[in-house]
Amino acid sequence: MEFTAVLAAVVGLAVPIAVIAGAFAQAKVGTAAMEGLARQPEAAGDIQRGLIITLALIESLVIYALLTFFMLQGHVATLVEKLGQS
Amino acid sequence: MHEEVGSWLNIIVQHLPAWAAPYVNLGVITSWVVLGLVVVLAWRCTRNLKLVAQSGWQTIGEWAYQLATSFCEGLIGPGGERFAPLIGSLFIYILIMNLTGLVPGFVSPTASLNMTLALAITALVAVQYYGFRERGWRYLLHFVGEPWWLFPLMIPIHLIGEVARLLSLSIRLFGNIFGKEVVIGQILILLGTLLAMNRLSVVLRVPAVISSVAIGHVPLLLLGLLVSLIQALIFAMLTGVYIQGAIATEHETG
Repeated sequence: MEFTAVLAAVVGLAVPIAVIAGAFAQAKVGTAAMEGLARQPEAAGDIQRGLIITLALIESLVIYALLTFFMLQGHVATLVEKLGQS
Repeated sequence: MHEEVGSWLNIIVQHLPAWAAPYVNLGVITSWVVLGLVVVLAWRCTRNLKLVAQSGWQTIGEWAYQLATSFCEGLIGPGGERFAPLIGSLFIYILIMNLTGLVPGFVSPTASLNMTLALAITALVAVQYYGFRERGWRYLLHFVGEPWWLFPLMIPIHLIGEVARLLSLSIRLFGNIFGKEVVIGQILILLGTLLAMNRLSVVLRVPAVISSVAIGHVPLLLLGLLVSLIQALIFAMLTGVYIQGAIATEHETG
C-alpha cells in the first residue's frame, strides 16, 4: 500500500519537476537568442535555426518525463486494482 | 492506436484477412492513406510541366521545391540541394501525418512509436549511406575521434551516440504527437465535466459537450497545428544536421 502511495506521488511529481527544469533552460536559450537577434538583426535566419533545434532538444527531455508518466500511470491503475482484489 | 479508437478507418481494420491482422493496424492504414494523398498531390503538381508555370498546381510544386532546396542549402551548405528530395519528402510526409490527427475521426500515425521508429531508421540509414558515398572509407575515421590513440574509448561512445540519435529522433516525434492527442482528449473531458457541474451550460442553453468542444477544441486545435508543424520541421532539420555532420570533411563532427 505504501509502495502504491509513493508511486502515485512520484508519478504526479515527475512531470512538474521536468517542466520547471525545461522551462528554465528554454528561458535561458530564449533570452540569449533575443539578445543576439536585437544585436544582429541580419543574422535572424541562423539564430532562429539554432534556437529551434536547441528548444527541440530541451523539449524532448521533458517529453521523456511525460512518456514515463504515461507508462507509470497505467501501472498505478493496475496496481490499485490488484490491491483492491486481494 | 488500437481498434477501439474511434476512427472512420476502423471498418477496414475490422475486415482484414486473418494473415494480415497482426501486421496492419489503424496507424499503418492511415499512413497509407496519407501516402496516397502525397502521391496524388505530387502527380498533380508535376503533370503537364511547362517552362513557365501556367497552372496553379505547377506553381505550388515549384514553390515547395524551391523552399526545400533553399532550406537544405542553408542547412548543409553549398551542394546541400542534393538532399532536398529526402529532407523535403520527410517534412511533407510527417507534416501531413501529424495534421491527420486534427481531423475529427482520424488518428495520427505518428502517435505510434512503430511509425516514428521506422521514419527515424530511414533517416539515419540515409545519413550513414550519404556519409559513405561522400567520403568513402574515410567516413569510418570519424568514429575514431580526434586524438587517434583514444579509439578504445571513442569508438563505443560514437556507436552509442548513433543509437541515442535514433532513440531521441523517434521518441521526440512520438512523445509530442501522442502527448498532443492525449492532452486534447483529456482537456475536453475535463471541460465537459466542469461545464456540466456549474450553471454555464444551463445559461448558454447548450449541452455541456457542445460548449466544451466550442470553448476548448479550437484553441487546442491551434496548439496542435503549431506542434505538428514544429515537430515536422525539427525532424527534417535534425536529419539535415546529421547529414551535414556525416559529409563534412572536418574531423570533430560527431
